Amino acid sequence: MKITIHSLVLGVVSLLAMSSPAHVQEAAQKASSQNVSVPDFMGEWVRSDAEARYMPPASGAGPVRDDPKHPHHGHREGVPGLPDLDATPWVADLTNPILKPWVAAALKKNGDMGLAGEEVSPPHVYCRPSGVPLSLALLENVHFMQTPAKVTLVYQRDHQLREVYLNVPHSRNPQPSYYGESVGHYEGDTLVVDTIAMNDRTVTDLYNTPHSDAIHVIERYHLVNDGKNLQVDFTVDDPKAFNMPWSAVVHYRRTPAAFQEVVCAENNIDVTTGKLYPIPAAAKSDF
Amino acid sequence: MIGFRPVIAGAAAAAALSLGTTFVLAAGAEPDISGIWWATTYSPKLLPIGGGDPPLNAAGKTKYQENMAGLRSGSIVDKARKVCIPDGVPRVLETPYPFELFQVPKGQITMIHELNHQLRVIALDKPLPKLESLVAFGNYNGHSVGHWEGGTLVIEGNGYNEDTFLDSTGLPHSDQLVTTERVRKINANQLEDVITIHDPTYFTRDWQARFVYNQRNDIRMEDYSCNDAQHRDLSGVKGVAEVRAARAAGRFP
Repeated sequence: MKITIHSLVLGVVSLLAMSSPAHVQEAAQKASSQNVSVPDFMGEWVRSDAEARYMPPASGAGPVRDDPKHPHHGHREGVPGLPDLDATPWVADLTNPILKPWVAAALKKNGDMGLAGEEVSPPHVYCRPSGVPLSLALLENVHFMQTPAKVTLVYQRDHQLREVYLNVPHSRNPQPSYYGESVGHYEGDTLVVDTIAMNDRTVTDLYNTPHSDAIHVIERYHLVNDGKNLQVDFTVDDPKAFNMPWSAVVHYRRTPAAFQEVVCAENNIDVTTGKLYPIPAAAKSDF
Repeated sequence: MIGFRPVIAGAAAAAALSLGTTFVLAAGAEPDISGIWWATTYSPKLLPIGGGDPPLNAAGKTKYQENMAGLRSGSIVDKARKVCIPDGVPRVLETPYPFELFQVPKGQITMIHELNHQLRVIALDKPLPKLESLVAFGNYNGHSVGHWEGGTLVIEGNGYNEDTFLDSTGLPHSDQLVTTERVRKINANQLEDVITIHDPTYFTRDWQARFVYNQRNDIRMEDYSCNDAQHRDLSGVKGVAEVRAARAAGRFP
């Protein structure tokens, strides 16, 4: 379950320092002649928890969960021995102590809209980037690639690209973006990923829980179950949106599904209603 | 352009420039062409090697005229720009946005283009499926396999759908399109992709176009979301300003 990465031997670190951006310098400083064994995450994974939910942590503050009066279930059709079911909306339990009042109010509105049959969907449904941690709730595959300087995750959903720069500090003033800036390092068998500088145009979970641009997410990826599963323990800290940091756990399993071109703008049919979701459209060509 | 300039010569400079994603592969392994690559020029019109115009046959000329007229009148929508579907090959090779090339895991080349986060997965040393088997399952960027011939990565592609153009002027192709790309480093910092277009539906003969990219491991790939107000600054790519001016003046649809 380990792969060995041979780093470059570099005698040019001091010269690099004169001319290159901070992250290149840092990578150069970390490069060494030693082989580093790191856990092998490469290839295709898909969420293995039901409905791609965030699972609660062993202890402490946890993620937004279902309102017990309105449990969510997905669309089910043609499953032998089980009745067909229409999907029910994601209605949040508003008693969760993590929620700031404005976030609880937003969730109340989302739940009411969902129960009224109105459309409430996270950005990826409209072919928008997910950001973190919402990317952990995508139902489609994630493709892992590992090199000495970075770990690259490509979410099959619209081929969203996310890069984790290894063994470097965060930039001084990273520009806010959907996926923000992720830096990481290995701690033994665990890949630790620290993400900041995300904009507030994404949501936190499938209940469409809003977050602010102060959101800070730490994910810890490690193999479990003899390498058959990948577990991610993650913590979300956003003092503008949540009263306290909270944690959750998700699991993936390896999948033989192909890593391939799947275009959101052509696959945006609501499976429950058969209706097309609106997709982003540019007013004019940019170049 | 971001100001990363090598101040060290020779092999050390090459190592420094490619540091971002490079690692030493086992002896006898494939050449390293991984990393971020970015064109320095942009032409909306595909320029055949040797000059002149692409060798359209009569059907091709008719189709090209229809496409250009439709794009001008709005009866044909350039979906790759309007709703950000993939460009298709070779149009994706001419975009003024960077792309990243990966050589992991073993046996696979992956190209991700920042524009519309387009994906190409190229299986190495696998046979290209027969075109007839792929026509009903056409991808925008086709189906690709590759193999190494010395320092050159040869990519064969087919199974393209008919929802793309060969370039940004509306140059047509059919689902009979077969492409062969020869990708290699022409020096420590530049990658060349020479593509051969085979599409007897619209062309009298096979023809080629060439693209050159600079290695840019000093930059990071950025998010791209269709119709966002802000995307990467393309002012360093020659030709972009001219095309934007032409569009603003209504000279280019």
